[in-house]
Amino acid sequence: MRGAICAVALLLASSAAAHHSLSLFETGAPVTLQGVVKRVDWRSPHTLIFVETQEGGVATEWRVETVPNSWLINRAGWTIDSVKPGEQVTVELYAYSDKTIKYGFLRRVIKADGKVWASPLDIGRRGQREPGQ
Amino acid sequence: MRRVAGPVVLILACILAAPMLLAQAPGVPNLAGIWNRKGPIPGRPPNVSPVTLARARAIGFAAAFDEVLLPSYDCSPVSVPVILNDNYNFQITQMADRLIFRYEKEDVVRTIWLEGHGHPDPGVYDYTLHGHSKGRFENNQLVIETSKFVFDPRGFHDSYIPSSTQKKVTERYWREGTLLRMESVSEDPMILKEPFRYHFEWELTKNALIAFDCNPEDSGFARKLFETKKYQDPDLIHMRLPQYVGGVAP
Repeated sequence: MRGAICAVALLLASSAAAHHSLSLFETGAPVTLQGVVKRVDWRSPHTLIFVETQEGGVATEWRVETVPNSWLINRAGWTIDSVKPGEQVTVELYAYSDKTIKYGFLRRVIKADGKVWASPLDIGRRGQREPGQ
Repeated sequence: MRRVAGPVVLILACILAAPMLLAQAPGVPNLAGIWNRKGPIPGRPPNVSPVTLARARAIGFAAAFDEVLLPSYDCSPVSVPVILNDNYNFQITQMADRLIFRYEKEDVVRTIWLEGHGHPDPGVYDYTLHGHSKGRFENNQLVIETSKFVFDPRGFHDSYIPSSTQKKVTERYWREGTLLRMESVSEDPMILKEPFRYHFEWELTKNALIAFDCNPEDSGFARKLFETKKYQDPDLIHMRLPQYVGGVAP
Protein backbone atom coordinates (compact mmCIF):
# COMPACT_ATOMS: atom_id res chain seq x y z
CA MET A 1 0.00 0.00 0.00
CA ARG A 2 2.79 2.38 0.91
CA GLY A 3 4.47 1.50 -2.37
CA ALA A 4 1.32 2.43 -4.25
CA ILE A 5 0.99 5.72 -2.34
CA CYS A 6 4.61 6.46 -3.04
CA ALA A 7 4.18 5.68 -6.73
CA VAL A 8 1.25 8.07 -6.98
CA ALA A 9 3.22 10.74 -5.14
CA LEU A 10 6.10 10.28 -7.53
CA LEU A 11 3.84 10.66 -10.50
CA LEU A 12 2.24 13.79 -9.15
CA ALA A 13 5.69 15.23 -8.66
CA SER A 14 6.81 14.22 -12.10
CA SER A 15 6.54 16.18 -15.22
CA ALA A 16 3.86 16.27 -17.81
CA ALA A 17 6.43 18.13 -19.82
CA ALA A 18 8.88 15.22 -19.37
CA HIS A 19 12.02 17.33 -19.50
CA HIS A 20 11.73 18.59 -15.93
CA SER A 21 9.09 18.56 -13.25
CA LEU A 22 6.63 21.38 -12.67
CA SER A 23 7.55 21.47 -8.99
CA LEU A 24 9.33 24.77 -9.61
CA PHE A 25 6.07 26.45 -10.53
CA GLU A 26 2.99 27.44 -8.54
CA THR A 27 0.56 25.30 -10.47
CA GLY A 28 -2.28 26.00 -8.02
CA ALA A 29 -2.39 29.73 -8.80
CA PRO A 30 -2.06 30.64 -12.48
CA VAL A 31 -0.87 34.16 -13.27
CA THR A 32 -2.17 36.35 -16.11
CA LEU A 33 0.12 38.83 -17.87
CA GLN A 34 -0.44 41.34 -20.61
CA GLY A 35 2.41 42.38 -22.82
CA VAL A 36 4.17 42.30 -26.16
CA VAL A 37 5.89 39.25 -27.63
CA LYS A 38 9.58 40.06 -28.05
CA ARG A 39 10.88 36.74 -29.33
CA VAL A 40 9.80 33.12 -29.90
CA ASP A 41 12.42 30.36 -29.91
CA TRP A 42 11.07 27.31 -31.72
CA ARG A 43 13.27 24.69 -30.16
CA SER A 44 13.28 21.91 -27.64
CA PRO A 45 12.99 20.82 -24.91
CA HIS A 46 10.91 24.00 -24.63
CA THR A 47 9.62 26.43 -27.15
CA LEU A 48 10.28 29.75 -25.42
CA ILE A 49 8.18 32.89 -25.64
CA PHE A 50 9.70 36.09 -24.28
CA VAL A 51 7.04 38.63 -23.32
CA GLU A 52 7.66 42.23 -22.26
CA THR A 53 5.25 43.61 -19.68
CA GLN A 54 5.04 46.96 -17.92
CA GLU A 55 5.26 46.74 -14.15
CA GLY A 56 5.04 50.13 -12.45
CA GLY A 57 6.15 51.82 -15.63
CA VAL A 58 9.19 49.60 -15.94
CA ALA A 59 9.61 47.21 -18.86
CA THR A 60 10.03 43.66 -17.60
CA GLU A 61 10.79 40.60 -19.69
CA TRP A 62 9.19 37.27 -18.82
CA ARG A 63 10.66 33.98 -19.94
CA VAL A 64 7.72 31.70 -20.72
CA GLU A 65 8.44 28.03 -21.27
CA THR A 66 6.12 25.75 -23.12
CA VAL A 67 6.25 22.24 -24.53
CA PRO A 68 8.62 21.05 -27.31
CA ASN A 69 8.22 22.54 -30.77
CA SER A 70 6.93 19.32 -32.35
CA TRP A 71 4.19 18.94 -29.73
CA LEU A 72 2.92 22.44 -30.41
CA ILE A 73 2.95 21.86 -34.18
CA ASN A 74 1.94 18.19 -34.47
CA ARG A 75 -0.31 17.88 -31.43
CA ALA A 76 -1.69 21.30 -30.57
CA GLY A 77 -2.10 22.77 -34.06
CA TRP A 78 0.29 25.69 -33.71
CA THR A 79 2.27 27.11 -36.61
CA ILE A 80 5.24 29.44 -36.47
CA ASP A 81 2.77 32.26 -37.19
CA SER A 82 0.56 31.46 -34.18
CA VAL A 83 2.48 33.80 -31.91
CA LYS A 84 4.84 36.32 -33.45
CA PRO A 85 7.15 39.06 -32.18
CA GLY A 86 5.45 42.44 -31.85
CA GLU A 87 2.02 41.05 -31.05
CA GLN A 88 0.03 42.23 -28.03
CA VAL A 89 -0.96 39.17 -26.02
CA THR A 90 -2.46 37.99 -22.76
CA VAL A 91 -0.50 35.10 -21.30
CA GLU A 92 -1.69 32.69 -18.63
CA LEU A 93 1.14 30.83 -16.95
CA TYR A 94 2.30 29.04 -13.84
CA ALA A 95 4.90 31.34 -12.32
CA TYR A 96 8.14 30.34 -10.68
CA SER A 97 7.81 30.54 -6.90
CA ASP A 98 10.47 33.25 -6.53
CA LYS A 99 8.68 36.28 -8.01
CA THR A 100 11.92 38.21 -8.47
CA ILE A 101 12.63 35.85 -11.37
CA LYS A 102 10.23 36.43 -14.23
CA TYR A 103 9.85 32.86 -15.35
CA GLY A 104 6.85 30.64 -15.90
CA PHE A 105 5.32 27.69 -17.70
CA LEU A 106 2.68 28.51 -20.30
CA ARG A 107 -0.98 27.52 -20.01
CA ARG A 108 -2.25 29.52 -22.96
CA VAL A 109 -1.80 32.63 -25.05
CA ILE A 110 -4.79 34.83 -25.87
CA LYS A 111 -4.24 37.12 -28.83
CA ALA A 112 -5.75 40.55 -29.39
CA ASP A 113 -8.39 39.08 -31.74
CA GLY A 114 -9.45 36.56 -29.09
CA LYS A 115 -7.73 33.58 -30.67
CA VAL A 116 -6.44 31.20 -28.00
CA TRP A 117 -3.34 29.03 -28.37
CA ALA A 118 -3.18 26.46 -25.61
CA SER A 119 -0.17 24.53 -24.46
CA PRO A 120 -1.72 21.35 -23.09
CA LEU A 121 0.47 19.68 -20.50
CA ASP A 122 -1.06 16.27 -21.04
CA ILE A 123 0.29 15.86 -24.57
CA GLY A 124 3.34 13.94 -23.51
CA ARG A 125 2.07 10.65 -22.23
CA ARG A 126 -0.90 9.87 -24.36
CA GLY A 127 -2.02 6.33 -23.88
CA GLN A 128 -0.51 5.27 -20.62
CA ARG A 129 -2.59 4.52 -17.59
CA GLU A 130 -0.96 5.76 -14.40
CA PRO A 131 -1.72 4.42 -10.92
CA GLY A 132 -4.92 5.85 -9.55
CA GLN A 133 -6.51 6.44 -12.96
CA MET B 1 33.41 4.27 -70.94
CA ARG B 2 29.90 3.21 -71.93
CA ARG B 3 30.81 -0.43 -71.18
CA VAL B 4 31.60 0.59 -67.59
CA ALA B 5 28.69 3.00 -67.11
CA GLY B 6 25.98 0.41 -67.89
CA PRO B 7 26.75 -2.02 -65.06
CA VAL B 8 27.47 0.83 -62.64
CA VAL B 9 24.06 2.35 -63.32
CA LEU B 10 22.45 -1.07 -62.89
CA ILE B 11 24.21 -1.63 -59.55
CA LEU B 12 23.23 1.83 -58.33
CA ALA B 13 19.63 1.22 -59.35
CA CYS B 14 19.61 -2.06 -57.42
CA ILE B 15 21.04 -0.37 -54.31
CA LEU B 16 18.45 2.41 -54.46
CA ALA B 17 15.63 -0.09 -55.00
CA ALA B 18 16.76 -2.38 -52.17
CA PRO B 19 14.26 -1.09 -49.58
CA MET B 20 11.40 -1.55 -52.01
CA LEU B 21 12.58 -5.04 -52.97
CA LEU B 22 12.84 -5.93 -49.30
CA ALA B 23 9.32 -4.77 -48.67
CA GLN B 24 8.05 -7.04 -51.39
CA ALA B 25 9.89 -10.10 -50.14
CA PRO B 26 7.63 -12.71 -48.50
CA GLY B 27 7.41 -12.31 -44.74
CA VAL B 28 9.01 -8.87 -44.79
CA PRO B 29 6.55 -6.03 -44.11
CA ASN B 30 7.10 -2.60 -45.58
CA LEU B 31 7.67 -0.43 -42.51
CA ALA B 32 9.42 2.45 -44.24
CA GLY B 33 8.06 5.95 -43.81
CA ILE B 34 7.42 8.73 -41.32
CA TRP B 35 4.92 7.65 -38.70
CA ASN B 36 2.53 9.89 -36.80
CA ARG B 37 1.62 8.72 -33.35
CA LYS B 38 -2.11 7.91 -32.89
CA GLY B 39 -2.19 6.26 -29.47
CA PRO B 40 -2.72 2.81 -27.94
CA ILE B 41 -4.11 0.05 -30.16
CA PRO B 42 -7.92 0.20 -29.80
CA GLY B 43 -9.68 -2.70 -28.15
CA ARG B 44 -6.77 -3.74 -25.97
CA PRO B 45 -6.35 -3.33 -22.22
CA PRO B 46 -4.86 0.09 -21.38
CA ASN B 47 -1.11 0.37 -21.12
CA VAL B 48 0.04 0.11 -17.53
CA SER B 49 2.72 2.39 -16.17
CA PRO B 50 6.01 0.72 -15.23
CA VAL B 51 5.79 2.69 -11.98
CA THR B 52 3.08 0.25 -10.93
CA LEU B 53 5.46 -2.67 -11.37
CA ALA B 54 8.59 -1.09 -9.90
CA ARG B 55 10.34 -2.96 -7.09
CA ALA B 56 10.90 -1.26 -3.75
CA ARG B 57 14.52 -0.47 -4.61
CA ALA B 58 13.36 1.36 -7.72
CA ILE B 59 10.80 3.38 -5.76
CA GLY B 60 13.50 4.12 -3.18
CA PHE B 61 15.83 5.30 -5.91
CA ALA B 62 13.14 7.56 -7.34
CA ALA B 63 12.30 9.01 -3.93
CA ALA B 64 15.94 9.80 -3.20
CA PHE B 65 16.80 11.07 -6.65
CA ASP B 66 17.89 14.69 -6.84
CA GLU B 67 16.23 16.26 -9.85
CA VAL B 68 19.18 18.51 -10.60
CA LEU B 69 21.04 15.35 -11.64
CA LEU B 70 18.61 14.68 -14.48
CA PRO B 71 20.59 13.93 -17.65
CA SER B 72 17.97 15.74 -19.73
CA TYR B 73 19.26 19.04 -18.34
CA ASP B 74 22.27 18.43 -20.55
CA CYS B 75 20.21 17.23 -23.53
CA SER B 76 21.02 13.58 -22.83
CA PRO B 77 18.27 11.53 -24.48
CA VAL B 78 16.06 8.70 -23.22
CA SER B 79 16.13 5.09 -24.36
CA VAL B 80 13.53 2.40 -25.06
CA PRO B 81 10.95 1.77 -23.71
CA VAL B 82 10.52 5.39 -22.52
CA ILE B 83 10.90 6.78 -26.02
CA LEU B 84 8.13 4.45 -27.25
CA ASN B 85 5.70 6.01 -24.80
CA ASP B 86 6.51 9.61 -25.64
CA ASN B 87 4.26 11.44 -28.05
CA TYR B 88 6.56 12.13 -30.99
CA ASN B 89 6.73 11.03 -34.62
CA PHE B 90 9.49 8.84 -35.97
CA GLN B 91 10.86 7.54 -39.26
CA ILE B 92 11.84 4.03 -40.31
CA THR B 93 14.34 3.46 -43.11
CA GLN B 94 14.57 -0.15 -44.26
CA MET B 95 17.84 -1.45 -45.69
CA ALA B 96 19.16 -4.85 -46.64
CA ASP B 97 21.10 -5.50 -43.44
CA ARG B 98 19.63 -2.98 -40.99
CA LEU B 99 16.79 -0.63 -40.19
CA ILE B 100 17.27 2.94 -39.04
CA PHE B 101 14.78 4.40 -36.55
CA ARG B 102 14.99 8.18 -36.40
CA TYR B 103 12.92 9.88 -33.69
CA GLU B 104 11.77 13.47 -33.30
CA LYS B 105 12.28 12.95 -29.59
CA GLU B 106 15.77 14.20 -28.78
CA ASP B 107 16.88 13.47 -32.37
CA VAL B 108 17.56 9.87 -31.37
CA VAL B 109 18.80 7.51 -34.10
CA ARG B 110 18.72 3.77 -33.48
CA THR B 111 20.26 1.14 -35.72
CA ILE B 112 18.59 -2.27 -35.78
CA TRP B 113 21.04 -4.86 -37.08
CA LEU B 114 19.26 -7.64 -38.95
CA GLU B 115 20.37 -11.14 -38.05
CA GLY B 116 22.17 -13.18 -40.67
CA HIS B 117 24.17 -10.34 -42.16
CA GLY B 118 27.36 -10.79 -40.20
CA HIS B 119 27.09 -7.86 -37.81
CA PRO B 120 29.05 -8.83 -34.70
CA ASP B 121 27.40 -9.17 -31.31
CA PRO B 122 28.50 -6.62 -28.70
CA GLY B 123 31.47 -7.44 -26.50
CA VAL B 124 31.40 -7.92 -22.75
CA TYR B 125 32.06 -4.24 -22.08
CA ASP B 126 29.85 -2.81 -24.83
CA TYR B 127 27.09 -1.15 -22.81
CA THR B 128 25.47 1.98 -24.22
CA LEU B 129 22.51 4.28 -23.54
CA HIS B 130 20.43 2.83 -26.39
CA GLY B 131 21.80 -0.69 -26.06
CA HIS B 132 22.43 -3.14 -28.89
CA SER B 133 19.45 -3.91 -31.11
CA LYS B 134 19.14 -7.07 -33.16
CA GLY B 135 16.24 -7.57 -35.57
CA ARG B 136 14.58 -10.35 -37.54
CA PHE B 137 11.43 -10.78 -39.60
CA GLU B 138 8.96 -13.28 -38.24
CA ASN B 139 5.44 -13.86 -39.59
CA ASN B 140 5.31 -10.48 -41.32
CA GLN B 141 6.52 -8.75 -38.17
CA LEU B 142 9.79 -7.05 -37.35
CA VAL B 143 11.05 -8.36 -34.02
CA ILE B 144 13.68 -6.25 -32.25
CA GLU B 145 15.52 -7.40 -29.16
CA THR B 146 17.61 -4.79 -27.38
CA SER B 147 19.97 -5.35 -24.44
CA LYS B 148 23.37 -4.13 -23.20
CA PHE B 149 21.99 -0.87 -21.78
CA VAL B 150 23.96 1.20 -19.30
CA PHE B 151 22.29 1.99 -15.98
CA ASP B 152 19.80 4.76 -16.75
CA PRO B 153 18.21 6.87 -13.97
CA ARG B 154 14.99 7.17 -15.98
CA GLY B 155 15.29 4.01 -18.01
CA PHE B 156 11.68 3.03 -17.36
CA HIS B 157 9.88 6.23 -16.50
CA ASP B 158 10.40 9.98 -16.31
CA SER B 159 9.61 9.75 -12.59
CA TYR B 160 13.17 8.46 -12.14
CA ILE B 161 12.27 4.78 -12.27
CA PRO B 162 15.69 3.55 -13.37
CA SER B 163 16.72 0.61 -15.52
CA SER B 164 19.67 -1.60 -14.75
CA THR B 165 22.20 -3.24 -17.04
CA GLN B 166 19.81 -6.21 -17.07
CA LYS B 167 17.12 -4.35 -19.01
CA LYS B 168 15.88 -6.14 -22.08
CA VAL B 169 13.26 -4.74 -24.45
CA THR B 170 11.51 -6.72 -27.18
CA GLU B 171 9.52 -4.80 -29.77
CA ARG B 172 7.28 -6.25 -32.49
CA TYR B 173 6.18 -4.04 -35.40
CA TRP B 174 3.69 -4.95 -38.07
CA ARG B 175 1.44 -3.33 -40.67
CA GLU B 176 -2.35 -3.37 -40.62
CA GLY B 177 -3.52 -1.49 -43.69
CA THR B 178 -2.22 2.04 -43.45
CA LEU B 179 -1.31 1.64 -39.80
CA LEU B 180 1.92 0.64 -38.13
CA ARG B 181 1.36 -1.22 -34.89
CA MET B 182 3.78 -2.16 -32.13
CA GLU B 183 3.82 -4.20 -28.99
CA SER B 184 6.77 -4.16 -26.62
CA VAL B 185 7.74 -6.21 -23.59
CA SER B 186 10.24 -4.72 -21.14
CA GLU B 187 12.06 -6.84 -18.60
CA ASP B 188 14.47 -6.05 -15.81
CA PRO B 189 14.46 -8.40 -12.80
CA MET B 190 16.49 -5.93 -10.73
CA ILE B 191 13.95 -3.14 -11.14
CA LEU B 192 10.57 -4.62 -12.10
CA LYS B 193 8.41 -7.14 -10.28
CA GLU B 194 7.27 -8.45 -13.66
CA PRO B 195 7.64 -7.42 -17.32
CA PHE B 196 5.33 -4.77 -18.68
CA ARG B 197 3.90 -4.18 -22.13
CA TYR B 198 3.23 -1.16 -24.27
CA HIS B 199 1.12 -1.16 -27.41
CA PHE B 200 0.80 1.76 -29.79
CA GLU B 201 -0.14 2.53 -33.38
CA TRP B 202 0.94 5.14 -35.89
CA GLU B 203 -0.28 6.33 -39.29
CA LEU B 204 1.81 7.43 -42.24
CA THR B 205 2.34 11.15 -42.53
CA LYS B 206 3.76 13.31 -45.28
CA ASN B 207 5.02 15.83 -42.74
CA ALA B 208 8.77 15.87 -42.31
CA LEU B 209 10.24 15.12 -38.92
CA ILE B 210 10.66 18.22 -36.79
CA ALA B 211 14.17 18.50 -35.42
CA PHE B 212 14.26 18.46 -31.62
CA ASP B 213 17.23 20.78 -31.78
CA CYS B 214 17.93 20.64 -28.06
CA ASN B 215 19.29 23.86 -26.68
CA PRO B 216 21.62 23.03 -23.75
CA GLU B 217 21.39 26.53 -22.32
CA ASP B 218 17.60 26.42 -22.22
CA SER B 219 17.61 22.79 -21.20
CA GLY B 220 19.70 23.53 -18.12
CA PHE B 221 17.97 26.79 -17.17
CA ALA B 222 15.54 25.32 -14.62
CA ARG B 223 18.31 23.29 -12.99
CA LYS B 224 19.85 26.49 -11.66
CA LEU B 225 16.64 27.32 -9.84
CA PHE B 226 16.26 24.15 -7.81
CA GLU B 227 17.04 24.60 -4.17
CA THR B 228 19.45 21.77 -3.57
CA LYS B 229 20.35 22.34 0.06
CA LYS B 230 17.65 19.96 1.26
CA TYR B 231 19.33 17.17 -0.66
CA GLN B 232 22.71 17.65 0.97
CA ASP B 233 21.82 16.16 4.33
CA PRO B 234 22.15 12.36 4.08
CA ASP B 235 19.77 11.88 7.01
CA LEU B 236 17.13 13.85 5.19
CA ILE B 237 17.55 11.73 2.07
CA HIS B 238 17.08 8.72 4.30
CA MET B 239 13.82 10.17 5.59
CA ARG B 240 12.50 10.41 2.05
CA LEU B 241 12.84 6.70 1.36
CA PRO B 242 9.51 4.88 1.00
CA GLN B 243 9.67 2.89 4.21
CA TYR B 244 9.37 6.23 6.03
CA VAL B 245 6.73 7.82 3.83
CA GLY B 246 3.48 8.00 5.76
CA GLY B 247 4.95 5.95 8.58
CA VAL B 248 6.96 6.31 11.71
CA ALA B 249 10.73 6.46 11.47
CA PRO B 250 12.44 3.93 13.72
